Amino acid sequence: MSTHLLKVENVTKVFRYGILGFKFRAVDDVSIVIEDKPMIFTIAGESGSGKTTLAKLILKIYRPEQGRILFMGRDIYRIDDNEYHRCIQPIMQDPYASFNPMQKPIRYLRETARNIAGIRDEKEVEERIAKTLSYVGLNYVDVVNKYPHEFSGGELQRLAIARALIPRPRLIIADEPVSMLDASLRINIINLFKKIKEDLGISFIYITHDLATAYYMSNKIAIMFRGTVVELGDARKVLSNPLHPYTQTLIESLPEPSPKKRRYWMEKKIKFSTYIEEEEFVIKGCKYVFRCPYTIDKCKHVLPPYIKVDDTEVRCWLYEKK
Amino acid sequence: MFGEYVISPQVSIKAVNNVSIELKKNEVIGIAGESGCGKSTLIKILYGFLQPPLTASGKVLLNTKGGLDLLSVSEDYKRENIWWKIMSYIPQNSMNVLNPFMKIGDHFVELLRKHLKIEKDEAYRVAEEYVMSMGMRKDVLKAFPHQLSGGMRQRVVVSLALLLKPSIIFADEPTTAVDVVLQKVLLQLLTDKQKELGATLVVVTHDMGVHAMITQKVAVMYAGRVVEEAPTEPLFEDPKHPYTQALINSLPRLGDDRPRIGLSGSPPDLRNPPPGCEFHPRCPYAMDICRREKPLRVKIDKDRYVVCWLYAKR
Repeated sequence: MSTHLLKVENVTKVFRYGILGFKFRAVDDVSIVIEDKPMIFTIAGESGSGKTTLAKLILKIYRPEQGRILFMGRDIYRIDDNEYHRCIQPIMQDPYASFNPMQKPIRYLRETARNIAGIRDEKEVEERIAKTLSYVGLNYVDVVNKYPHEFSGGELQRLAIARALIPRPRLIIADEPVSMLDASLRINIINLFKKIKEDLGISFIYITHDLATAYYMSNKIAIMFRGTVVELGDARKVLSNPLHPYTQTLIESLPEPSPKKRRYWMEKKIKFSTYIEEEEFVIKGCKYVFRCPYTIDKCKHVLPPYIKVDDTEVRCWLYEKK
Repeated sequence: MFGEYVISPQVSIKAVNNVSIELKKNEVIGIAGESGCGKSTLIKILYGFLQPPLTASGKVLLNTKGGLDLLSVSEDYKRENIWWKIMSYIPQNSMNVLNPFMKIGDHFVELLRKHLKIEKDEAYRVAEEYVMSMGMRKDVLKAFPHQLSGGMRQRVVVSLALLLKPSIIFADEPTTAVDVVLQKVLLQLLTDKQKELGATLVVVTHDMGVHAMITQKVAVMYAGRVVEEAPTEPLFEDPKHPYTQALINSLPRLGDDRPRIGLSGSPPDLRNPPPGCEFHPRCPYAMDICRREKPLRVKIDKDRYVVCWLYAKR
């Protein structure tokens, strides 16, 4: 048996702007490995960095142009869809959009229990739902007759988590699961993820741009920029000692709830000019050259390989061994 | 002031309840609290933007106009003389508020022509110079909103709001839908311009991190009331109200892995608020009196007020 739960090997996804428009690689030669032990793997980056596309590739919503994705050592396109979705479940960003406003959310839970978890007995379906709901902190009786608008955002997100848990998956892909919630409620959902990981042994791919929550909950982290992974390693190490200039910018932009750090935050200005997005996607070399303060000539022409510094892998010429 | 959404003669929501707030020149004021606490409604009242079902009572006095009460003048008057010129408003979801059928340039030209009474060509030249001073290329003026990225659109909206050099800027959740890098770019742009104009900036957000980074004073709202008011630094160092404490302590921070606990439950339904202190069902320190009587505003220190029975003098 394989020791990897999920292995993404040199995956590339190309999108096209318009019919004749230019092509760009939304995900460009990405490789990540999620080991077969309960862990939270964070994929972080700004909007347009390709993190959601990567999640959709793993969920079989998009098919990669190049590379392959292995689940437990098998190519995901060789695994039957039903079986695959029993093992991998998504939680989406917007809890208000996850549920049809005209239908009771309980219906989705029942459908998931019947069709994906494959439970035939109706009594067992209700039992599984009730158990899962109480696990995520909701009450079956309160949920059963309500429509989505009668729930708060936090409750809807808990319902989405319950739905994802019903088939008892091995891996949950959570795409910005807390960015639509109030900051005071986020931590509850995040604590719930940690609890699920520890109690049920389910791994998570947590997609976010919020590095504070990433630091709080994740074991490993991959930082993405314009389709490439620029830094990959142990979450604590990467976030306390960031190597790639982009990771450093991400960390410096984070507003912290301590006014003492304000001066530092205000003084660090970010280089951000207009119309560089398209150029960033098509450039041959490192995609960060337009914003990087350390750019050398080589960066513009050759994409740096993964360079190992301690246990962290970083794609930046600054760390090239001479 | 009071703000009420009258939905039917039987149902009304008191979204803003007995709030007094003073905006000083050259100051950044934050309004904090969860969604559904009346933050946006407060901003709408301060801006004088009252559309049914929202009604307001009380006074919003404007010093620059010799103590004019915004709530007593007509909408046409506000449109002509106050909005954009003296006060401007950056709404929530600001990346989606531009007219999709109008070029960016026409948005600027329309505003300039209306308020400065200048010709189209001249207005266009002014707009060109202005967008360049805001750090954008002048060819954004030729683009339609959909051709720009979300970040650029937000910069355009912020630029429009600052075009006529207003003395008060209201920003309602200016950065909720953007990532951290863009958030910093936008907040720095806003605060730089605020300093340049010597204006007052009122920022509404539930993200306490943003308050810590840019505001001088914060008012924390809960269920339509201001429950704590303080200068930013002491507020974060020693939050008094249990609600403020929960808001600040629930935030994870880089380099700190202590387990954190969030608030349970959600803000009360304002059609039917709980008796006594509105926060008591979620408060870890709730006492008998909290369930019966509304707490009074207590002065703790210079410019520091809290509305909580824990600090009432007995």
